[in-house]
Amino acid sequence: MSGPFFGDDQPEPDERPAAIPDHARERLAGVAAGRVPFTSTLSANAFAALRGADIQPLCQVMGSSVYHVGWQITGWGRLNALRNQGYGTYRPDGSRPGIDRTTGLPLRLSWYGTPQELRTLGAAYNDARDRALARLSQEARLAGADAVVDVEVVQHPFGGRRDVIEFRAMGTAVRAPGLRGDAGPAFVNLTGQDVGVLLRGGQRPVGLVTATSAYLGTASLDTVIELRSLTGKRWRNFEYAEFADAWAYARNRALMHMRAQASDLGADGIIGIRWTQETREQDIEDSDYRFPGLIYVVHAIGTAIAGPAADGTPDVYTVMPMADRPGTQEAS
Amino acid sequence: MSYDPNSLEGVPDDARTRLAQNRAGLFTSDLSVREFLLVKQAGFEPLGLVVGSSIYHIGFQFSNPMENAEMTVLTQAMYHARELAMTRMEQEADSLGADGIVAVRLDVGRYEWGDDLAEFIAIGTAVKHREGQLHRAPNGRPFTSDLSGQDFWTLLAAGYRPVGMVMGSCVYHVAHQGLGSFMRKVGRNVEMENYTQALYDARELAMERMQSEAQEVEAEGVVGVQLHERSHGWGSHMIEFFAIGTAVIPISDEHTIASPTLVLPMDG
Repeated sequence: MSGPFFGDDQPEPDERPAAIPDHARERLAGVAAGRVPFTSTLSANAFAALRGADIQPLCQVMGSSVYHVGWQITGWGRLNALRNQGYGTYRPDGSRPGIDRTTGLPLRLSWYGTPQELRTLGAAYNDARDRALARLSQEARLAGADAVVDVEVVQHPFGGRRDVIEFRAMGTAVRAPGLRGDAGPAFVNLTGQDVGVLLRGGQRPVGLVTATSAYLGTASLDTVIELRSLTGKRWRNFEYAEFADAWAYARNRALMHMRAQASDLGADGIIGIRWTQETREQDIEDSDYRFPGLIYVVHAIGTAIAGPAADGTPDVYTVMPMADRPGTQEAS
Repeated sequence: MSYDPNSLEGVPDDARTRLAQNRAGLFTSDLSVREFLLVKQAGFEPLGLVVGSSIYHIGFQFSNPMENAEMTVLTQAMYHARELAMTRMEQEADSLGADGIVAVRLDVGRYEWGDDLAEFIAIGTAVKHREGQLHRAPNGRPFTSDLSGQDFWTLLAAGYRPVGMVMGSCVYHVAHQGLGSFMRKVGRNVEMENYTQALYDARELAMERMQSEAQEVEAEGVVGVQLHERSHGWGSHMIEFFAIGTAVIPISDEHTIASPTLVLPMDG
């Protein structure tokens, strides 16, 4: 299935990844050869925790990608025109119902109330992030690293334009033979201290998993008709089940993507999942009705881990910190 | 919504596929590293991230500007929508065969443009006891707890276990001040009794409802109660008091933990 909205536009393989500048290569080669002192933004505590786990920092590494979203985020209003041309009649499973043979009308009203995945929009975020991470991986390899810790993935609109997004991934490349994965350096979005704690718990981080998914939810025709009626739903409590559905589909799709990535990394599980969600109103106008609609763009990131299934946990002692907590001492 | 542990009503097809994958291994969770290790140490295995949501249209109710009164339509909306989100989350946990859900977060979001729309989200990590001890709530539902992994560990070490999140809500209209009352108070230091009374009433109703929910699950008490006063964009005279906490029951007669070691952090 393809098209401006529901397309599955995957980039051509030869487009990626862009080359790393020559001077960066030289610097990283110096790091790999051990000719230069290590550099890191690690705090003294994080550094000590990593050294305690026999992990040696090498240098800061970065990967970035500025990406143009093929379908402009501000252009959703065109959905109406496209739908009238038949684009909107796709069902979520990819089939296209086409024309009703008895009435000769497009079977389009069944479309409303069913969550629609906005694949082009989701794919833009996923591809941009993959490119940034691929460059991070390339830098880490050049530096001779086994893993990158304290990885932070930042995402924001670029230069004030809503249709251009920037992804930047930064972290500290480290030498840690125990963390190296089959496919290259492992990305770990944990602080040095957390890496230390996790390893002491008999578990090890195997990689970073992350996904974006985008869904459009619209009110069903029944809801719209009821809302129009003066005695109907307008004054009453009710659930917009259509929107809750779209939300749940978006979250699920992101989780499933992350599970697939974790599975490829040979992980036992994913911890520390963090969500961010963008919600935009997108009403869709018909010649007769106005369908309230919502677009959910859901980003998720987590840490894939592996380790023994049981009894790997260390002893835990309770302590009572004797320092005053902030705010407990009166100002004098 | 009556509760059926085998029901997946309202849980989308995609989620069923995901839950089936979770059952096959590879858990997902939003626990931090430390929470994850402590939950394991307490004898539980995380099974999967479970979520529930409800996007809710809140009805309309006329309020007399001069009257202190509970807005029952709005209270019911807040209750029902939270119940829907929590129940969906619990159903997901059930389908994983979980004993309960830890580190639950219950959020209410409002949309800037939709005065009458609210989004309720419940997210937590479904867990199962490794030795197969049943930790469900007396009503057969998975237990729920909004305690962090650290607090969960400490609670179990102290001989208690969570049975369920209990909550109480009350949406209340605080009366406006009449002209007569305004004139009597001009230039004087005086308590606004009307307002004080309204806040008391609303808070009392919310606390009472939370307490009766705790009684329903046969709890010994409620820990970690948080009391929120919010207006959810309804304007200054409409407030929601929302009380939420974790109901606990004893699992042993011994309730003293090993005396904590006193430490003085040197990083200040």
